[in-house]
Amino acid sequence: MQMVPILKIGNTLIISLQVKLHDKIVINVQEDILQKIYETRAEGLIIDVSTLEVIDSFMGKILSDTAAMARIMGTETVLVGIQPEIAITLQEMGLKLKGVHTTLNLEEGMSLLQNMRKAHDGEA
Amino acid sequence: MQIKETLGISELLTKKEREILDAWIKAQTDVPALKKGLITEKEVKEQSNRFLKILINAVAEGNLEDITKPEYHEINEFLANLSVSRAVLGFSPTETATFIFSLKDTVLKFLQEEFADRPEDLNKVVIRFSLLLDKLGLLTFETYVKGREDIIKNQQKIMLELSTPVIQVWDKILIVPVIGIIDSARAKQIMENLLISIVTTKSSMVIMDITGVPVVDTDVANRIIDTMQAAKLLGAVTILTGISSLISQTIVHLGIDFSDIITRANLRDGLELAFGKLRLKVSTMEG
Repeated sequence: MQMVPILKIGNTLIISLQVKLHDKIVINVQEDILQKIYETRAEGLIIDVSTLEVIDSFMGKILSDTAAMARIMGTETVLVGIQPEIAITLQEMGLKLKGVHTTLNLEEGMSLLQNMRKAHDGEA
Repeated sequence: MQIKETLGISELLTKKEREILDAWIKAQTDVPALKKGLITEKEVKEQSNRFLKILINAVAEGNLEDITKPEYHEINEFLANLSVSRAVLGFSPTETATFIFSLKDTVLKFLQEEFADRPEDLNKVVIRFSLLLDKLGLLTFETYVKGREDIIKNQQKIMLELSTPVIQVWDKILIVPVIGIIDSARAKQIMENLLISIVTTKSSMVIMDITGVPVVDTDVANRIIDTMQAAKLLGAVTILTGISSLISQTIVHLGIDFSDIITRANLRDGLELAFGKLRLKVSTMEG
């Protein structure tokens, strides 16, 4: 069984998806993530796909679902490191990653979450 | 019978080569291409001289019908080169084909003189020789068109490469000025160029300027939206600028949904917005 580690830094959870995962495992990962969010009450979730060569429609749907689910639990999701080829393929498939923030790399993802947190605190 | 007639032409060509050549060149000097200076008289002379020689060689074999036979190989090649080079030089189709057809007229005159006392033979000879040169004329025309097509293809390629620059105007800000019509091939190229540039320059702002796009229909709009959404997947904020009043009217009338995209009327406003989002400020220097 493939394991995908979920790391926690401060209020942020980070997962790195490095190889194409079996559909079944993807669902397990989704459950793990949500469980972890529930346990840690993280404010941000970063999913790193910079070494992923393919994102198929199933994977795309799971990613966008996870983001929607996380948002209900009060966590913003940032998808980082999408490769140009993948972006083109996703666009051609007509797959919309609704509710997911995207950034170029992990670093920018972190600062985006930080800014959002600041803005949020400002409102409150 | 057949061989005799063929030999008649072949012999005549050989015998009167000098005179035919002079008359032919004279006939060609009237073409506008020469007057326009696309080609010099010397070149015309060389080409004519060479062609007449290989034609005489080919005809000597006794074959006046099938120009795909090996004895016509040299002629085919010569005409192909000639038409392609003339196409490149800017000759019109008529000017290119005149090369062959003026030879036909010239030789027919000589044939008339030669066969003046044998009208029956003259008739046959004229028909056969005309058919041969008509075929060669068509060949010139065909290769001429092929040469033109190659030019067009090349230019298309060059235009595609020229037309999709991605410019980094500031740290993290890219501008894509789109000029002309966006077809699917171009849209793909723009998208690829843009995404690769976003990664290499680590940009987070993309301004796509469509001031130079004359018409925005549903297809074009969708291509623009696709490109901007792909850029968004890489984390870039995308701003569409250069939307003229005409284009904005078209977009609304067509019912295209641009609500997901930040839009500005001109590039200046787009750039200002991008600076603002990056918390940069342009100010006048003191003193």
